[in-house]
Amino acid sequence: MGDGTAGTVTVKNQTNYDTICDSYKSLSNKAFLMNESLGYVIVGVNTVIRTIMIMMITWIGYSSETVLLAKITTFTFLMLFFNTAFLLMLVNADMSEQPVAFGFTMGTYSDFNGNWWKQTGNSLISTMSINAIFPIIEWGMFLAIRLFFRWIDRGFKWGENKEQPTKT
Amino acid sequence: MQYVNLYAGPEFLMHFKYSAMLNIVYVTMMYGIALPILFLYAILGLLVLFISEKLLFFYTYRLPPSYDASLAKHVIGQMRFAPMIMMVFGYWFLSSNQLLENKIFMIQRASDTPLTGHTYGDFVYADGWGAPQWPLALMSIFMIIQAFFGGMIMKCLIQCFPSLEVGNEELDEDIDTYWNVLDDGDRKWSQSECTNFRGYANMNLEKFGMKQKSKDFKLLEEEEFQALMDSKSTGRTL
Repeated sequence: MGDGTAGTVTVKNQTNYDTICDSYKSLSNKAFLMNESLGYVIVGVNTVIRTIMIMMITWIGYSSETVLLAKITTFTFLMLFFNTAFLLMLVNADMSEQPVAFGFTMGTYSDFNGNWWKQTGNSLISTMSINAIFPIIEWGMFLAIRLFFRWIDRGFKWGENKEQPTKT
Repeated sequence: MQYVNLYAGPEFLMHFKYSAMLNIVYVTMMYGIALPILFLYAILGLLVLFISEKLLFFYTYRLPPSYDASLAKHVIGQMRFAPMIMMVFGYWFLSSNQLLENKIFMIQRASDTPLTGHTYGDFVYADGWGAPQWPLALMSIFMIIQAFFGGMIMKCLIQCFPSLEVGNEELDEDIDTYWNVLDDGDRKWSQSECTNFRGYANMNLEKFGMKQKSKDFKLLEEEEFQALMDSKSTGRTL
Protein backbone atom coordinates (compact mmCIF):
# COMPACT_ATOMS: atom_id res chain seq x y z
CA MET A 1 0.00 0.00 0.00
CA GLY A 2 2.95 2.22 0.07
CA ASP A 3 3.16 2.47 -3.71
CA GLY A 4 0.85 5.43 -3.95
CA THR A 5 -2.17 3.58 -5.38
CA ALA A 6 -4.06 3.48 -2.18
CA GLY A 7 -7.72 4.53 -2.55
CA THR A 8 -8.02 3.80 -6.31
CA VAL A 9 -10.15 1.01 -7.70
CA THR A 10 -9.01 -0.87 -10.76
CA VAL A 11 -11.80 -2.60 -12.67
CA LYS A 12 -10.70 -5.96 -13.98
CA ASN A 13 -12.28 -7.58 -17.10
CA GLN A 14 -13.81 -4.29 -18.17
CA THR A 15 -16.64 -4.78 -20.68
CA ASN A 16 -18.11 -2.08 -22.95
CA TYR A 17 -21.79 -2.03 -22.00
CA ASP A 18 -24.19 -0.28 -24.38
CA THR A 19 -26.15 2.48 -22.82
CA ILE A 20 -29.93 2.57 -23.24
CA CYS A 21 -29.52 5.45 -25.66
CA ASP A 22 -27.09 3.43 -27.80
CA SER A 23 -29.54 0.53 -28.00
CA TYR A 24 -32.39 2.90 -28.82
CA LYS A 25 -30.33 4.66 -31.48
CA SER A 26 -29.28 1.39 -33.05
CA LEU A 27 -32.84 0.03 -33.15
CA SER A 28 -34.18 3.35 -34.38
CA ASN A 29 -31.63 3.45 -37.23
CA LYS A 30 -32.47 -0.12 -38.21
CA ALA A 31 -36.19 0.64 -38.19
CA PHE A 32 -35.64 3.80 -40.24
CA LEU A 33 -33.51 1.93 -42.77
CA MET A 34 -36.01 -0.90 -43.10
CA ASN A 35 -38.94 1.45 -43.40
CA GLU A 36 -37.23 3.63 -46.00
CA SER A 37 -36.02 0.69 -48.06
CA LEU A 38 -39.42 -1.04 -48.02
CA GLY A 39 -40.75 1.20 -50.79
CA TYR A 40 -37.80 0.38 -53.05
CA VAL A 41 -38.09 -3.34 -52.20
CA ILE A 42 -41.80 -3.37 -53.14
CA VAL A 43 -41.15 -1.61 -56.46
CA GLY A 44 -38.26 -4.01 -57.18
CA VAL A 45 -40.33 -7.09 -56.30
CA ASN A 46 -43.19 -5.71 -58.44
CA THR A 47 -40.88 -5.52 -61.46
CA VAL A 48 -39.73 -9.11 -60.90
CA ILE A 49 -43.35 -10.28 -60.48
CA ARG A 50 -44.38 -8.52 -63.68
CA THR A 51 -41.58 -10.16 -65.66
CA ILE A 52 -42.29 -13.62 -64.23
CA MET A 53 -46.03 -13.30 -64.86
CA ILE A 54 -45.46 -12.26 -68.47
CA MET A 55 -43.09 -15.22 -69.01
CA MET A 56 -45.48 -17.70 -67.38
CA ILE A 57 -48.60 -16.58 -69.24
CA THR A 58 -46.69 -16.44 -72.54
CA TRP A 59 -45.52 -20.00 -71.82
CA ILE A 60 -49.11 -21.16 -71.17
CA GLY A 61 -50.18 -19.64 -74.51
CA TYR A 62 -53.61 -18.51 -75.66
CA SER A 63 -55.56 -18.78 -78.90
CA SER A 64 -54.96 -15.20 -79.99
CA GLU A 65 -52.51 -12.39 -79.25
CA THR A 66 -55.33 -10.17 -77.96
CA VAL A 67 -56.49 -12.74 -75.39
CA LEU A 68 -52.88 -13.33 -74.35
CA LEU A 69 -52.28 -9.60 -73.76
CA ALA A 70 -55.57 -9.26 -71.88
CA LYS A 71 -54.68 -12.19 -69.59
CA ILE A 72 -51.17 -10.86 -68.96
CA THR A 73 -52.57 -7.41 -68.13
CA THR A 74 -55.17 -8.81 -65.73
CA PHE A 75 -52.97 -11.26 -63.83
CA THR A 76 -49.97 -8.96 -63.67
CA PHE A 77 -52.18 -6.20 -62.31
CA LEU A 78 -53.74 -8.50 -59.70
CA MET A 79 -50.31 -9.60 -58.49
CA LEU A 80 -49.01 -6.01 -58.36
CA PHE A 81 -52.09 -4.79 -56.56
CA PHE A 82 -51.93 -7.60 -54.02
CA ASN A 83 -48.22 -6.99 -53.40
CA THR A 84 -48.56 -3.21 -53.11
CA ALA A 85 -51.86 -2.69 -51.34
CA PHE A 86 -52.94 -5.88 -49.59
CA LEU A 87 -49.82 -7.73 -48.49
CA LEU A 88 -48.61 -5.14 -45.98
CA MET A 89 -52.12 -4.74 -44.65
CA LEU A 90 -52.78 -8.45 -44.22
CA VAL A 91 -49.45 -9.48 -42.65
CA ASN A 92 -49.90 -6.85 -39.94
CA ALA A 93 -53.60 -7.46 -39.36
CA ASP A 94 -55.13 -8.64 -36.12
CA MET A 95 -58.83 -8.97 -36.81
CA SER A 96 -59.68 -10.78 -33.59
CA GLU A 97 -61.98 -7.89 -32.62
CA GLN A 98 -64.08 -8.38 -35.76
CA PRO A 99 -67.11 -10.71 -35.91
CA VAL A 100 -65.22 -13.07 -38.25
CA ALA A 101 -61.42 -12.84 -38.22
CA PHE A 102 -60.72 -14.92 -41.37
CA GLY A 103 -57.61 -16.28 -39.63
CA PHE A 104 -55.86 -12.89 -39.43
CA THR A 105 -55.05 -12.81 -35.74
CA MET A 106 -51.26 -12.81 -35.66
CA GLY A 107 -50.58 -9.19 -36.59
CA THR A 108 -50.19 -6.07 -34.51
CA TYR A 109 -52.82 -3.75 -35.96
CA SER A 110 -56.49 -4.26 -35.28
CA ASP A 111 -57.46 -1.28 -37.43
CA PHE A 112 -55.99 1.54 -39.49
CA ASN A 113 -54.78 3.37 -36.40
CA GLY A 114 -52.11 6.00 -35.87
CA ASN A 115 -49.29 3.47 -35.77
CA TRP A 116 -50.50 1.79 -38.94
CA TRP A 117 -50.44 5.09 -40.83
CA LYS A 118 -47.03 5.93 -39.40
CA GLN A 119 -45.49 2.66 -40.48
CA THR A 120 -47.41 1.07 -43.34
CA GLY A 121 -48.97 4.30 -44.58
CA ASN A 122 -45.52 5.86 -44.91
CA SER A 123 -44.25 2.83 -46.81
CA LEU A 124 -47.25 3.03 -49.11
CA ILE A 125 -46.63 6.69 -49.89
CA SER A 126 -42.96 5.97 -50.41
CA THR A 127 -43.83 3.10 -52.80
CA MET A 128 -46.25 5.25 -54.77
CA SER A 129 -43.79 8.13 -55.03
CA ILE A 130 -41.14 5.75 -56.41
CA ASN A 131 -43.79 4.23 -58.68
CA ALA A 132 -44.51 7.69 -60.06
CA ILE A 133 -40.98 8.23 -61.30
CA PHE A 134 -40.23 4.57 -61.97
CA PRO A 135 -40.82 4.78 -65.77
CA ILE A 136 -37.86 7.19 -65.95
CA ILE A 137 -35.67 4.97 -63.73
CA GLU A 138 -36.70 1.91 -65.75
CA TRP A 139 -35.87 3.66 -69.02
CA GLY A 140 -32.43 4.64 -67.72
CA MET A 141 -31.82 1.13 -66.41
CA PHE A 142 -32.68 -0.61 -69.68
CA LEU A 143 -30.76 1.99 -71.70
CA ALA A 144 -27.69 1.32 -69.55
CA ILE A 145 -28.04 -2.45 -70.12
CA ARG A 146 -28.37 -1.98 -73.88
CA LEU A 147 -25.42 0.40 -74.01
CA PHE A 148 -23.37 -2.05 -71.98
CA PHE A 149 -23.99 -4.90 -74.44
CA ARG A 150 -23.27 -2.59 -77.40
CA TRP A 151 -20.04 -1.57 -75.70
CA ILE A 152 -19.06 -5.23 -75.39
CA ASP A 153 -20.05 -5.81 -79.02
CA ARG A 154 -17.73 -2.97 -80.13
CA GLY A 155 -14.79 -4.56 -78.41
CA PHE A 156 -15.05 -2.46 -75.22
CA LYS A 157 -14.82 0.80 -77.18
CA TRP A 158 -17.18 3.72 -77.64
CA GLY A 159 -18.00 5.21 -81.03
CA GLU A 160 -17.46 3.60 -84.39
CA ASN A 161 -14.84 0.92 -84.86
CA LYS A 162 -12.17 2.73 -86.87
CA GLU A 163 -9.89 -0.24 -87.32
CA GLN A 164 -8.93 -0.73 -90.95
CA PRO A 165 -9.95 -4.04 -92.43
CA THR A 166 -7.01 -6.39 -92.79
CA LYS A 167 -5.80 -6.61 -96.36
CA THR A 168 -4.98 -10.05 -97.59
CA MET B 1 -30.49 -10.93 -86.37
CA GLN B 2 -28.47 -10.80 -83.16
CA TYR B 3 -26.86 -7.59 -84.40
CA VAL B 4 -30.25 -6.06 -85.20
CA ASN B 5 -31.60 -6.98 -81.78
CA LEU B 6 -28.60 -5.41 -80.11
CA TYR B 7 -28.84 -2.08 -81.91
CA ALA B 8 -32.62 -1.80 -82.27
CA GLY B 9 -34.82 -0.24 -79.62
CA PRO B 10 -36.77 -2.25 -77.05
CA GLU B 11 -40.17 -3.77 -77.79
CA PHE B 12 -43.30 -1.88 -76.85
CA LEU B 13 -44.88 -3.93 -74.04
CA MET B 14 -48.32 -2.45 -73.82
CA HIS B 15 -49.58 -4.94 -71.21
CA PHE B 16 -46.62 -4.08 -68.97
CA LYS B 17 -47.68 -0.43 -68.88
CA TYR B 18 -51.38 -1.12 -68.62
CA SER B 19 -50.89 -3.25 -65.51
CA ALA B 20 -48.77 -0.48 -63.93
CA MET B 21 -51.51 2.06 -64.70
CA LEU B 22 -54.19 -0.14 -63.20
CA ASN B 23 -52.05 -0.63 -60.11
CA ILE B 24 -51.59 3.13 -59.63
CA VAL B 25 -55.32 3.77 -60.05
CA TYR B 26 -56.46 0.98 -57.73
CA VAL B 27 -53.96 1.68 -54.91
CA THR B 28 -54.86 5.38 -55.04
CA MET B 29 -58.56 4.66 -54.98
CA MET B 30 -58.15 2.20 -52.13
CA TYR B 31 -56.23 4.44 -49.73
CA GLY B 32 -56.90 7.86 -51.29
CA ILE B 33 -59.59 8.96 -48.87
CA ALA B 34 -57.27 8.55 -45.89
CA LEU B 35 -54.06 9.48 -47.75
CA PRO B 36 -55.12 12.25 -50.18
CA ILE B 37 -51.51 12.83 -51.23
CA LEU B 38 -51.81 9.58 -53.18
CA PHE B 39 -54.00 11.40 -55.70
CA LEU B 40 -51.12 13.81 -56.41
CA TYR B 41 -48.70 10.91 -56.78
CA ALA B 42 -51.17 9.15 -59.07
CA ILE B 43 -51.46 12.24 -61.29
CA LEU B 44 -47.68 12.55 -61.35
CA GLY B 45 -47.26 8.83 -62.08
CA LEU B 46 -49.78 8.81 -64.94
CA LEU B 47 -48.31 12.03 -66.37
CA VAL B 48 -44.77 10.66 -66.27
CA LEU B 49 -45.98 7.42 -67.84
CA PHE B 50 -47.86 9.30 -70.57
CA ILE B 51 -44.98 11.61 -71.48
CA SER B 52 -42.25 8.97 -71.28
CA GLU B 53 -44.26 6.42 -73.29
CA LYS B 54 -45.13 9.01 -75.90
CA LEU B 55 -41.47 9.96 -76.34
CA LEU B 56 -40.25 6.38 -76.28
CA PHE B 57 -42.96 5.32 -78.69
CA PHE B 58 -41.84 7.87 -81.28
CA TYR B 59 -38.08 7.74 -80.76
CA THR B 60 -37.05 4.44 -79.22
CA TYR B 61 -39.49 1.53 -79.42
CA ARG B 62 -39.62 -0.81 -82.36
CA LEU B 63 -42.75 -0.54 -84.48
CA PRO B 64 -45.40 -2.52 -82.57
CA PRO B 65 -48.00 -4.76 -84.22
CA SER B 66 -51.32 -3.13 -85.07
CA TYR B 67 -53.36 -3.66 -81.91
CA ASP B 68 -57.09 -3.16 -82.05
CA ALA B 69 -59.14 -1.46 -79.35
CA SER B 70 -60.04 -4.65 -77.48
CA LEU B 71 -57.16 -4.46 -74.96
CA ALA B 72 -57.93 -0.81 -74.18
CA LYS B 73 -61.60 -1.72 -73.71
CA HIS B 74 -60.61 -4.62 -71.48
CA VAL B 75 -58.53 -2.32 -69.26
CA ILE B 76 -61.31 0.28 -69.08
CA GLY B 77 -63.68 -2.54 -68.12
CA GLN B 78 -61.38 -3.56 -65.28
CA MET B 79 -61.25 -0.02 -63.95
CA ARG B 80 -64.96 -0.11 -63.15
CA PHE B 81 -64.27 -1.81 -59.81
CA ALA B 82 -61.92 0.95 -58.62
CA PRO B 83 -64.67 3.38 -57.46
CA MET B 84 -66.34 0.50 -55.62
CA ILE B 85 -63.12 -0.19 -53.69
CA MET B 86 -62.83 3.53 -52.98
CA MET B 87 -66.33 3.66 -51.48
CA VAL B 88 -65.89 0.52 -49.35
CA PHE B 89 -62.50 1.51 -47.94
CA GLY B 90 -63.57 5.15 -47.69
CA TYR B 91 -66.51 4.09 -45.56
CA TRP B 92 -64.16 2.12 -43.30
CA PHE B 93 -61.72 5.03 -42.91
CA LEU B 94 -64.41 7.62 -42.24
CA SER B 95 -66.15 5.43 -39.67
CA SER B 96 -62.88 4.91 -37.74
CA ASN B 97 -63.08 6.00 -34.11
CA GLN B 98 -59.52 7.25 -34.05
CA LEU B 99 -59.16 8.95 -37.42
CA LEU B 100 -61.94 11.52 -37.04
CA GLU B 101 -63.28 11.22 -33.49
CA ASN B 102 -59.97 10.72 -31.69
CA LYS B 103 -61.36 7.93 -29.49
CA ILE B 104 -58.52 5.76 -28.22
CA PHE B 105 -58.90 2.58 -26.21
CA MET B 106 -56.23 2.10 -23.53
CA ILE B 107 -54.04 -1.00 -23.40
CA GLN B 108 -52.68 -2.79 -20.33
CA ARG B 109 -49.32 -3.87 -21.74
CA ALA B 110 -47.17 -2.47 -24.51
CA SER B 111 -47.43 -5.78 -26.35
CA ASP B 112 -51.24 -5.75 -26.35
CA THR B 113 -53.07 -5.12 -29.60
CA PRO B 114 -55.18 -2.03 -29.01
CA LEU B 115 -58.92 -2.47 -29.41
CA THR B 116 -60.69 0.03 -31.60
CA GLY B 117 -64.41 -0.51 -31.09
CA HIS B 118 -64.66 -0.39 -34.88
CA THR B 119 -66.09 -3.52 -36.47
CA TYR B 120 -67.70 -4.21 -39.79
CA GLY B 121 -70.69 -5.49 -37.85
CA ASP B 122 -71.50 -1.80 -37.12
CA PHE B 123 -72.71 -1.56 -40.69
CA VAL B 124 -76.02 -3.17 -39.77
CA TYR B 125 -76.56 -0.86 -36.78
CA ALA B 126 -77.43 2.82 -36.63
CA ASP B 127 -73.87 3.60 -35.41
CA GLY B 128 -72.47 2.60 -38.77
CA TRP B 129 -74.70 5.07 -40.62
CA GLY B 130 -73.63 8.33 -39.02
CA ALA B 131 -72.02 11.26 -40.82
CA PRO B 132 -69.72 11.55 -42.70
CA GLN B 133 -69.58 7.90 -43.65
CA TRP B 134 -73.17 7.16 -44.63
CA PRO B 135 -73.02 8.46 -48.25
CA LEU B 136 -70.08 6.17 -48.86
CA ALA B 137 -71.96 3.21 -47.32
CA LEU B 138 -74.92 3.92 -49.59
CA MET B 139 -72.74 4.25 -52.67
CA SER B 140 -70.90 1.03 -51.72
CA ILE B 141 -74.19 -0.87 -51.68
CA PHE B 142 -75.26 0.56 -55.05
CA MET B 143 -71.89 -0.13 -56.64
CA ILE B 144 -71.64 -3.69 -55.29
CA ILE B 145 -75.15 -4.47 -56.54
CA GLN B 146 -74.34 -2.89 -59.89
CA ALA B 147 -71.03 -4.73 -60.23
CA PHE B 148 -72.31 -8.19 -59.38
CA PHE B 149 -75.98 -8.10 -60.35
CA GLY B 150 -76.02 -5.24 -62.89
CA GLY B 151 -76.23 -7.59 -65.87
CA MET B 152 -79.08 -9.57 -64.37
CA ILE B 153 -81.03 -6.43 -63.39
CA MET B 154 -80.58 -4.98 -66.89
CA LYS B 155 -81.91 -8.19 -68.45
CA CYS B 156 -85.02 -8.02 -66.24
CA LEU B 157 -85.53 -4.34 -67.16
CA ILE B 158 -85.22 -5.13 -70.85
CA GLN B 159 -87.84 -7.86 -70.44
CA CYS B 160 -90.18 -5.25 -68.99
CA PHE B 161 -89.16 -2.34 -71.27
CA PRO B 162 -87.80 -3.70 -74.58
CA SER B 163 -86.97 -0.20 -75.85
CA LEU B 164 -84.11 -0.03 -73.29
CA GLU B 165 -82.09 -2.52 -75.28
CA VAL B 166 -79.22 -0.96 -77.18
CA GLY B 167 -78.61 -3.27 -80.08
CA ASN B 168 -76.61 -2.94 -83.26
CA GLU B 169 -78.02 -0.35 -85.63
CA GLU B 170 -79.20 -1.97 -88.85
CA LEU B 171 -78.98 0.21 -91.93
CA ASP B 172 -82.17 0.33 -93.97
CA GLU B 173 -80.86 1.54 -97.29
CA ASP B 174 -83.90 0.59 -99.32
CA ILE B 175 -85.71 3.87 -98.73
CA ASP B 176 -86.54 6.93 -100.81
CA THR B 177 -85.08 10.45 -100.47
CA TYR B 178 -85.41 12.28 -97.16
CA TRP B 179 -88.35 14.52 -98.13
CA ASN B 180 -90.29 11.60 -99.62
CA VAL B 181 -90.03 9.42 -96.52
CA LEU B 182 -91.31 12.09 -94.14
CA ASP B 183 -94.79 11.40 -92.89
CA ASP B 184 -97.50 13.82 -93.95
CA GLY B 185 -97.45 15.81 -90.70
CA ASP B 186 -93.68 16.39 -90.81
CA ARG B 187 -93.75 17.27 -94.49
CA LYS B 188 -96.52 19.84 -94.05
CA TRP B 189 -94.71 21.33 -91.05
CA SER B 190 -91.42 21.62 -93.00
CA GLN B 191 -93.16 23.15 -96.03
CA SER B 192 -95.04 25.67 -93.86
CA GLU B 193 -91.90 26.65 -91.93
CA CYS B 194 -89.91 27.27 -95.10
CA THR B 195 -92.73 29.16 -96.87
CA ASN B 196 -93.49 31.24 -93.80
CA PHE B 197 -89.84 32.19 -93.32
CA ARG B 198 -89.51 33.17 -96.98
CA GLY B 199 -92.52 35.49 -96.45
CA TYR B 200 -90.36 37.72 -94.22
CA ALA B 201 -88.52 38.84 -97.36
CA ASN B 202 -91.52 41.12 -98.12
CA MET B 203 -91.38 42.71 -94.69
CA ASN B 204 -90.32 46.36 -94.35
CA LEU B 205 -86.87 46.03 -92.80
CA GLU B 206 -86.18 49.77 -92.83
CA LYS B 207 -88.36 50.33 -89.80
CA PHE B 208 -85.89 48.10 -87.92
CA GLY B 209 -82.98 50.23 -89.13
CA MET B 210 -81.92 47.69 -91.76
CA LYS B 211 -81.65 47.99 -95.51
CA GLN B 212 -84.34 46.34 -97.57
CA LYS B 213 -83.21 42.96 -99.01
CA SER B 214 -80.08 43.04 -96.84
CA LYS B 215 -81.09 39.72 -95.30
CA ASP B 216 -81.71 36.43 -97.01
CA PHE B 217 -84.81 34.76 -95.63
CA LYS B 218 -84.22 31.21 -96.83
CA LEU B 219 -84.13 28.14 -94.66
CA LEU B 220 -83.29 26.02 -97.70
CA GLU B 221 -81.61 26.78 -101.00
CA GLU B 222 -83.87 27.05 -104.06
CA GLU B 223 -83.22 23.52 -105.32
CA GLU B 224 -83.83 21.92 -101.90
CA PHE B 225 -86.90 24.06 -101.34
CA GLN B 226 -88.33 22.92 -104.66
CA ALA B 227 -87.59 19.27 -103.76
CA LEU B 228 -89.44 19.73 -100.50
CA MET B 229 -92.45 21.35 -102.14
CA ASP B 230 -92.62 18.65 -104.85
CA SER B 231 -92.14 15.74 -102.45
CA LYS B 232 -94.89 13.18 -101.92
CA SER B 233 -95.22 10.12 -99.76
CA THR B 234 -94.15 6.82 -101.33
CA GLY B 235 -95.63 4.64 -98.59
CA ARG B 236 -92.50 4.05 -96.47
CA THR B 237 -91.73 6.67 -93.86
CA LEU B 238 -88.92 7.18 -91.37
